Amino acid sequence: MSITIYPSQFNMRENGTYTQLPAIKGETGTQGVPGVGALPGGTAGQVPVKQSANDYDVAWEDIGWQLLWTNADPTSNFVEQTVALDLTEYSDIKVIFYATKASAASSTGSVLYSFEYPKTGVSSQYYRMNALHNTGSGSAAAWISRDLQGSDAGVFISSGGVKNTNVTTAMSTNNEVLIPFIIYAR
Amino acid sequence: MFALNLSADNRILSATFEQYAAPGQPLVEELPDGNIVDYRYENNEYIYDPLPEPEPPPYEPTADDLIGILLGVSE
Repeated sequence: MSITIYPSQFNMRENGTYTQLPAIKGETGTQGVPGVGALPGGTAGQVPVKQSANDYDVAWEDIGWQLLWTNADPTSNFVEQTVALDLTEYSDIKVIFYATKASAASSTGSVLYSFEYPKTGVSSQYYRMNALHNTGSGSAAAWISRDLQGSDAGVFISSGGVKNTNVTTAMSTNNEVLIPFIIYAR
Repeated sequence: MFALNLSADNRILSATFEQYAAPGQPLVEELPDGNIVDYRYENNEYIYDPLPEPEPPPYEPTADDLIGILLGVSE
């Protein structure tokens, strides 16, 4: 061990006189513990999100809309049902519909509608997806409709409804319209 | 592979792909032809059991129909 002696600014009093004391420089200390850096884990596209106001309480999470379900047979009628999904980690739902099952089967282009709503809305009430759909040249436009509701267990989608715009009757059940095609959540 | 969403009486309500299957949903290699909601799935078999057709909506004349009736014009 080498010791370097420097002149000190401190003195020791001895027998009424002051004696200058030497100062000694110590050895270099050991390496400290590494600081908190980027959180390990996560997958491509995820971002760190604070889980509380506490420092370093961060977790990797998906952001934006996540694809949770795709209709494997959109050319079939779609009857009233709850599409079973685990939505406990999500707060918003987006459903993409084909206008009709014929539209889903079209090879020349499909008409799509998008509907976005909060998972938990007003208790026991539904969100109504209404669209004014023109089935083609020479045909009167018609209202087409589905009611939707979200929960932790999935997405409820009612029977489809149709009515012409120039009549006052109620919607008629028609499960050939507004065929859900994709469900996203975030 | 497809995952079936079944009703309480085993009617096929809809189908999705295997990667989107909910726990407990039956997985199948192929879907039945035609409207899948016309089938039930029991004992690993499809049973053709179509739903009854919905009642047609009651006829209600449109504004054009009423004008035609008033003018005695028929198409």
